[in-house]
Amino acid sequence: MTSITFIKRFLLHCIWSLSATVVVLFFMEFVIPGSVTPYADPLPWAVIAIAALSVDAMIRPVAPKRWLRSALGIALLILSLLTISTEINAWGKSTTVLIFVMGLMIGMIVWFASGRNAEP
Amino acid sequence: MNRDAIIRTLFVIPWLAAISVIGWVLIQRFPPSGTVAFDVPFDGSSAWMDPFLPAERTSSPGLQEGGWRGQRIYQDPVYTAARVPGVYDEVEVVLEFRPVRQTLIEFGILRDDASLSFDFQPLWFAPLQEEAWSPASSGLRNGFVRDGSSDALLASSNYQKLAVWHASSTPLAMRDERQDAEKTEVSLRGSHDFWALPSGDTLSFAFELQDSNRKKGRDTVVFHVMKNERIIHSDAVGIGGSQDEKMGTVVSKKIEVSGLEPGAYRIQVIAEDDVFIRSITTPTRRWVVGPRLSFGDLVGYRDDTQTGTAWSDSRHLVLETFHTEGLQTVAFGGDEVNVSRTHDAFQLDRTDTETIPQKLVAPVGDIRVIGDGWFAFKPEAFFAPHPRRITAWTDPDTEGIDAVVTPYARPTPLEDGWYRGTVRFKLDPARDHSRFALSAPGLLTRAGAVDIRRVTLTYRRPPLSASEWFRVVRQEIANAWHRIKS
Repeated sequence: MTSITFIKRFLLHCIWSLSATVVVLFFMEFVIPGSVTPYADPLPWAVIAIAALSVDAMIRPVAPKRWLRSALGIALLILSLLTISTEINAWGKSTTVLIFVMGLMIGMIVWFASGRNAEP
Repeated sequence: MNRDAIIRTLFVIPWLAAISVIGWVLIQRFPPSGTVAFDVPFDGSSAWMDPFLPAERTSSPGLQEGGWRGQRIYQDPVYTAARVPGVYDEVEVVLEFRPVRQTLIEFGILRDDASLSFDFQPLWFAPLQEEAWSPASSGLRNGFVRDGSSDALLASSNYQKLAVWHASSTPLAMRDERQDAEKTEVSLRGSHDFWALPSGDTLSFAFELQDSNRKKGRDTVVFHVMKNERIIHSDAVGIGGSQDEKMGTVVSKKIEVSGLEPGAYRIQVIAEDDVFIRSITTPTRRWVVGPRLSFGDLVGYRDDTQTGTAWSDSRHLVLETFHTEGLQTVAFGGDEVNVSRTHDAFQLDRTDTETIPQKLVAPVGDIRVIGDGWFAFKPEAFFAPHPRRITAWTDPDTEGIDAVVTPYARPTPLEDGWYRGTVRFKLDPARDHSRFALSAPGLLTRAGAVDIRRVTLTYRRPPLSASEWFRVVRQEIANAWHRIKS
């Protein structure tokens, strides 16, 4: 493994672990409001993770694995359902807005990662 | 192991970091010790506690005149909310505060959203800061005793010298000898609470009632005999006809309960203001009314007026009349007040230092009086069924109070008039937020203030064990489900 390959793969692990952390923290904040935000603000990290994922998806020469696309699709579906369920009674909640934005961005990643730059 | 395999293990590092971050957040939520504390500078910057509201009763949180940071309260009550960081059983609130021309401050937690009922705890009472008072206890009663007085006063029922503040006192255990009934002519309007000692083992009160029919329709008068807030006897009587328009006939109703233990009993008479009590006949020698006493008029009953006369240990009265015929100068002890307008509350505060009940005279009756003590229609009938409650207007020196039963703990003096006081409350584990109120009665009229610069919130539950962890997680899931549903 060359140094360049190592750095690229290490960065990829950093991006994915950051993304997973952000998703878990947002989910915790959604289920128990105030369980995360008073200690740490996950929003800037979410923006960084989404930007990095988007860049990765755009420059990736091959389409991501099927399980990855499936996982992102399921995440999008769950977040959309949660957004709808909270909007019914609590329109304007900041958590709702954040989840909605996150859902949209994950949708964008799925779209990018679904083979726009994939090899045939 | 080859070099590539070793390098691949480095890929675990970002995932370990991710797990550490999530674990750290989880530990904040589920601290193994069961205790978590937040030191909150009260400048509006904390996520754990909001500034006090409404804004028109407070200053903006932050830098204040005088160079200190915090919030100034000008008028009470004010409200705040604290975010509860999980499932906890108790919260300890430590406030750094500075009272300015304010003798009494209480801090409470909201217990019932529907009725807005708060559970208040004592935070500050200026007279008890004086050196003449010392913390003391006697039996199960804790509080403060004036130097030179016995600690046993706290557990006694000597209510002339005792006051309570968010505590209960030793119940009175007295009775009168059996005697012949005596009739007292009165003119009392609407609901009243009578407090009496039993005569022998019997409580007997005969009321002459009259429906004035100023509002058309039949009236029902309900009677409850109570001891320690428990109803032991109930009765009712209907008076007046449904079409009557003139003063109704006088109806007698006797309430009698036998086999009673010694003690102070409350006879609650519940009636509309259309109903007048014209006389009370009882063998009981010691009986009082209060804290509300409403002298009625005699219009339609007799042609003259009836002077409202009573003896009371109250220090502060609020008087109000609803008729121009009720405008008068009311005397109480050596003080008096001119009730010069209808539908307006007039305050009458005693300035003497007498500890015996003083005579109240309302020359033309027709006035409602609310006191902080009780009223007797003969001086020898007076007794105090309960000790006085500490209020913002209580002056223990002039009122002859030598002991105060209270859970109050003196705040710790800091520099420049600041104090650190502590209150504790049980928490409802189903609540995400605790709502608090700060009460400082009379703050506006004294042009006083209460400054708050720092709050420390300490939440407690038992240290995490397997069973405790399951309890907490189960409650968190229940709360989350309830939150999503609502």
